Amino acid sequence: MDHPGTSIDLSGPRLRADLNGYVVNDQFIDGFKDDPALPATARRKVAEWAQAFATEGFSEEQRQLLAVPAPADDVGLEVLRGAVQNIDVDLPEAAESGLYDLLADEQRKLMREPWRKVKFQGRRRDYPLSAGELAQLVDVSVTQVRDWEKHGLLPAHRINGRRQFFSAAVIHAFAFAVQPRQRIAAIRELSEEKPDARFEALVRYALRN
Amino acid sequence: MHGLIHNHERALIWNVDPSQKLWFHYTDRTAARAIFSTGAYYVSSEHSGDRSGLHVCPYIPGSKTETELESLILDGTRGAAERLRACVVFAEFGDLKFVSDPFTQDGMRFLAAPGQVLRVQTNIVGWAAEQTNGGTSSWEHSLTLFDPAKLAESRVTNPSPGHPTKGSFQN
Repeated sequence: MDHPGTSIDLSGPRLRADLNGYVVNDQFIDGFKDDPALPATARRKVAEWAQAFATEGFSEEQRQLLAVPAPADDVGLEVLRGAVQNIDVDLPEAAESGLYDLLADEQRKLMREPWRKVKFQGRRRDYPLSAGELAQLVDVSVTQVRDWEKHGLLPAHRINGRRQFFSAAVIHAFAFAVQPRQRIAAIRELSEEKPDARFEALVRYALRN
Repeated sequence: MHGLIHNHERALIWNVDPSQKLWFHYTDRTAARAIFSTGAYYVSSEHSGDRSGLHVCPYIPGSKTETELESLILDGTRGAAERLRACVVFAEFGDLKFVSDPFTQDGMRFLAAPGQVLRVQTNIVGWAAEQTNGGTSSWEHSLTLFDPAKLAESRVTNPSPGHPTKGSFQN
C-alpha cells in the first residue's frame, strides 16, 4: 500500500460550548487572549473568536492576524464535501438499492469502524480510505478496487489529487466481492453511459422470469 | 476515540446550564469529524430548492431513540441509515439563525443553496458520536461540550474512564 487516505485533523483550538474560551491540546483555556506559542492558523482562529465573543474586545496583534485572509484549506474542504455527499447522497442510494440491509453484522461493524481492520504503518485508519485500505477492509486486491472504481461501480471522491472512499463504497465493495466475474462484467456494462438497449431489455426480461 | 470522552454526563454543558441555546445537526461520524475539523458546512445536492441547507434540531444526543428522531427531524425522503449516529453541535450566533423546517415535525434549518460552503467557525462548539459495544450503545462527546469546573469535579470522583484516547489513530 503506497499511501494512506487523507487524515481528518482534529488538533488545534476548538471553541467551547459555553463560548467563554476554547480547548487546545485537551486543556481548557479561559478567554481568547492571543497566544504566540500557537501556530499562526490557530492564533487566527482564536482571534476570530475574540472578535466575536471577548467582552474586552481583541488585541492589536489579533486585529493584524485577521487582516490577512485565512489560508485556504482545500484538502480539508475536499474531505468535507466527500463526507457530506457520502451521508447525504451515496449512503441513501446504497440503502435504497437494498445493499445496506444485506450487510452481515460483521461487515456492518467494519463499515462503521474501519479501524478495526485497516492499519497503515501500524496505526489505525479511519475514513477517507485509499484504494489499498478499502481493499484491505473488504479482503480483495487493490487492482480489483481500482477496476471497480474505474468503471464507476464504487462511489469515490477526489481528495488531495487521489480517489478516496467513504462508507458507501465499503457497502458496494462488500457486495461486489462475492459476485462472480461475469456478473460484475454485466453490471459494469449496464452502468456504462450508453448500454446496449438489447442487453438492457434482456436483463429486464431475465429478472421478470 | 478521536478525542471524544465518555462518562461525566453531569458535566455536559446542557446539564450544567440548560439555558444554553444549542442546536444539533445529526449525521454520521465521518461527516461530523469533517465539519468539526474545518469549521465549515457543505450544503450537498441531497435536496434542492426550498429544502437545501443546514438542518438541525433541539434534541441532545441520546435523548431520543433513532426511530423517534427519524420521525421528528427527517422529512421522509431519505432513509436514516447511519445518519443519526453522530452530531455536530452549533451555537446560534451572528448570521446563522435557524428557522422551523416545514418539511419535518421538529427540525430547524438554515436555508442555503446546494454546493454552498457555510463558514461556521464561530458557531460550531462540539461534536458527539454513538459508540456501540457488545449490544449496548452510549454517546461520547468532545471536550468542548463540558463545563470545565464540573468536569474537573467529576474526574475526581470518577477518574476512569473519561479521558480522550490519544495517539493510536492515523486520523
